[in-house]
Parts: sequence; structure tokens; C-alpha cells
Amino acid sequence: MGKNIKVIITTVPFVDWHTPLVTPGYLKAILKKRNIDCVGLDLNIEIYNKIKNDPNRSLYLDFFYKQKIHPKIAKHLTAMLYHYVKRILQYSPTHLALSLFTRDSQVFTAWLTYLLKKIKPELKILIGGPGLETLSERKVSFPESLMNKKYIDAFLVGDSSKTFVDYFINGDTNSAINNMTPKKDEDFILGTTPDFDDYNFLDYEHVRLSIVDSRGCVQKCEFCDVIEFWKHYQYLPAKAIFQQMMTLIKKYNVYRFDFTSSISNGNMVEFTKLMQMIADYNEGKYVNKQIHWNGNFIIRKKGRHSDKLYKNIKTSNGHLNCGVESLLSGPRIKLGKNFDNNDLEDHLQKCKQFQIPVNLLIIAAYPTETTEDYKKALQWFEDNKSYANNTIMEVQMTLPALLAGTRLSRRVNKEEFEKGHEACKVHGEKLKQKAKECGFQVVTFF
Amino acid sequence: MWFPSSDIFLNINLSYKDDKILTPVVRAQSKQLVPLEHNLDKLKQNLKIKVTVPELLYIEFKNVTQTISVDEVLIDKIKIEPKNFKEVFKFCPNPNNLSIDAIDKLPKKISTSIYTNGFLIFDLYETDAISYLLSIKNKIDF
Repeated sequence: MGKNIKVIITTVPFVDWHTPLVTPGYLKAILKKRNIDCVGLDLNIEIYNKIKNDPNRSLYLDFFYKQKIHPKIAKHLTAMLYHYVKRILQYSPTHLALSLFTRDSQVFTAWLTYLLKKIKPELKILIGGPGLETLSERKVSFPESLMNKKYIDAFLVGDSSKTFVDYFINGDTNSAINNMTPKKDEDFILGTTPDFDDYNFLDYEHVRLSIVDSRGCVQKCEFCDVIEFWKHYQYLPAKAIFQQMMTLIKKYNVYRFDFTSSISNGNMVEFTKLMQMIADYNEGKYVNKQIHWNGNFIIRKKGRHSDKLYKNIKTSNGHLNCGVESLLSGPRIKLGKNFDNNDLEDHLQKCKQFQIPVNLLIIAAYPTETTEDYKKALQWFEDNKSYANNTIMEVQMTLPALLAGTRLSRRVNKEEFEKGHEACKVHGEKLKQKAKECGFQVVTFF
Repeated sequence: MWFPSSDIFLNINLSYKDDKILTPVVRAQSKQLVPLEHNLDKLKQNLKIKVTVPELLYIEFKNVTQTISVDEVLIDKIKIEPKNFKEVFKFCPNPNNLSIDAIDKLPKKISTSIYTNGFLIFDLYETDAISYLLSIKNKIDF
């Protein structure tokens, strides 16, 4: 089967993100290794750019997130769907693989697959990715519903490159296809560097190339669905990550990277090695020829990260996204993050000392926080305003959410949780206001 | 905008109260007859009409003795949400059996019941099914 096929892999709107999404590039590289003709596209960016500064942006988001259709944008939505169809069909594919990054891609996927099947019924459509959201409590899951309607031909639950490749070689005879039990690879396919040849880098505000450095997490945060899927933490050795960086630099002349994992410093031995390798590489080079990277970084107990490591993070131009969640020690430890506010203070001091930029990721009004805690959270910004734009470059704030399959979703009463949402939002707004007053840059996702 | 096809398939499901099942006549805006496929299952009738949009369709019901209900409408296999029926079709009562040429003079009512002789008027004003569905704010169920 693999010989006479042409596969298009693409992302699906809406992913509110402005750097290249890696999955199509990664899967293309894997198919290419098996001599399967493939094009890997991040078409989401074209839609992202279209609505970025559009005065009706919120109406588009209403469509993507809730399938709310406003007459003002109906014609533009039609144009978007046909644009996508044209971009896909211009390659005369036999197969299309749609990568759904989150559930926010479901609405567009439903419309797009419906339209594609109308125009080119013989095109085989496979969907996959975390956006299938099969852990939710729907009677009929999203992919099954699309299968029933014959909008798609196959779906792949989980994250298994091996099953993905097998589909294009053996068709849907593999029992892992169209099966609700999530599939996962036990190991990384080492040495697979994403292939971004079909990406138009001019489309992006920031060209940072993604590297999947690990899967799963070493922490057990109750709100997180990553640990529910990846029960064991998997990581690439420092040497393999560094090798990917070298390949991508050579091929694309891009020196900026995103580690697209939940945690970059999960394995301290490998992470320490990697920081040393990048620091050595950067030493003595002009800044635009130095590696820069962004990654999720767990704060650990005071003293667990050495000064040398902080120094190497600085020399390697690391920008750390630190999941703090609650600004209070008690609720934070209770939810599964094993560091208190003294450890947080120590980490911020070190980052300030070594001039390492940090984004702080906060969940405003975590369910175990009390109204007294809310006051303390507001005070935290007051007490720590010396870090505003001087170490803490951005505070990213969300509200608590119940992700399907998580410990939190099993623990709380969903009705009460929903009832409390408005109060959370009120506190979230206050927290945002306070952080701004204290000089922090704040981005909210509510 | 590029549209690969302007043909859409209109699917209408009706239910009757008695077994006097009618075979409606369908005309386009030009008053030309439009082919219709219809199937019966007891008191349920299914009408299938292929339309090249944009188009106005007049589906004429004669000899109506008992109310006929419009249960379901699908456009290119997408179910029209009942709340959107009013955007898609109207009923034109024609108890005096005036000819199709008089249709503009007849009152147009928002109704899912064909309670007397008359026309169901479908205003499929867009150039393809997707445009039409989006313009009437109809969701895809999934």
C-alpha cells in the first residue's frame, strides 16, 4: 500500500499559537524514512494569521471553540474551509492525516472532513492527536461520531508513531486503528528529526522549531491529563536532542527551539548534560548564531538545582516556563507539586542572579484555595514585584478546568465545580489586575 | 470563491395523519418542473430533490385533507436544526388553488404544518451547501 500513496499531514484550527507546530513535521519525517510520499503542513498558522488582528476575532473563536456561527463571519468561514480544502487537494493526496492538538480543533475538523468527503469521497481521512479527547464522558466519542457519519475513514487514539506508519502500509487491518484504547510507543523513535521542508517560515511571528524531548512527567499534578496518558516518563538522551538541534540548524539556519514536552528537566542527569552541551556550543559565538530555547521547567526543592546548572541555563539562552499553579504553598503541594514558596523564592532569586527569563504559569483560584488564600495570592504579587520584567517576563493565568480522565475530575463534584466558576473568574480578574498594578505582564486564558 | 459544485441534495421528511399520501409537484423559480424522488414508509414520506443553488423551490401540495408535518430537513445530509426551519422554508397557504404565477400574492407563514393546500417555499439563496448552512447558523452535529 505504501508505494502508491501520497499523504498530507496537517494541523487543524484552532491552535492559538504562533510558532511552527511540530506534529506534521515529525510524522512526515517518520513516513519519509519508510519511503512514503508525504507533505507535512501547519495550515493552522494561515488561519491564525487571518484572524490575528481581525476586529471579529472573538466571533471566529466562538466558532472554533463553540461552533457558534455569527452571520457577520459566515462568508469568511466558508472561504476558510474552501481555502483549507484547496491547500490540501493541490497536492493530489490519496490520504489525509489531521492532527488535532486540542479539542478546540474539533469543530473545524467536523466541517472540513464533511466538505472533503463531499468533494473528494475517495480521499482517505485519518484523524489523531490529543484533540480527539477520548477520555471525556461523551456517549459517542468525537472520532466515533465522525466515523459513523462517514466523514473520516480511520482514527488513531493515543500517540503511537509505529501504528501511524503501519496504517499507511497495511491499511486499517491493524487492530490499533479505530480502537478506543489509547496506543503509545514504549520508546521514542530515536534519531527522528522533524522535517519542516513544507512549512513556510515567513508565516510565523517567531520561528522556533519544536523538539519533542520527553513524554509524560515526573510530577503528579491532579489537574493534568498528560500523566493519565503517559504513565511512565520517557525522555530523549541529551546527545539525541543536541543532535536534532544541530541537524535543524544546518538545514534551516534556525537557532531557536521549543521543547514541546510537559517537562524538560524531568531527568536531571540528561538535562544537566544538555545544558552543558548547549552552553559549550554557544560559548564565543555571536548571539544570533547561538542556540536559544524555551521549555517547561519544574521548580524543585531549594538546592536541587546547582549554581552551575543555572549558569549553563543562562549561557544556553534558556527561557523557562515554570508551572507554579497556586501561589500558596499548601494548595500547591496538595495538588501534587512538591515545592513551597521558599523554594519558589529561591528559584526566582537564582534566575534573577543569572538573568534567566521566566514565565510563571498560574491557575487562579485553584479549587482547594479559600477566600483567605485569595487574599494571600493577591499579596504575593505585591511582595514579589521586584521580579516584574526582571526575571518574570510574563505571568500566564488560567482558571481551573476539569480535564477528562484526571484525578481532579474524579475528585470534585462537577456541578459544584461549574457553579464556582463565576467566583473563580472574579478572583482571576482581581489577580490579573493586581499583577498588572505590580508591573507584571499578564496573559490570561479566560 | 472557488466552489467545486453548486448541486445540493435536499431531503425532506414528512408525516401524514391519514393514508392519503400526496405526490407533491416541485418547481424552480423559473416555474420549470424539478424532478423529485419520493419514498413512503407507512405514514412517513421522504422527498429527495437535487437542486443547483442558488434557487427558490416551490413544492406544491394539493388535495390536503389532514395536516402534514415537516419533521426533518437535511441539506446535503446535514440535519437542519428545527430552530433554523424558519430560515429555510415557509408555508404559503393556497386554499383557493391559485396557479403558481400567483405565488407572490400569497401570504408566507412560518410553519412546519401543511394544513391546507399550498406551497412549501425553500429559499436556497447561497451558492453552495456550506455557505448556506453557515449563513443560517446551522451546526454540524458531532
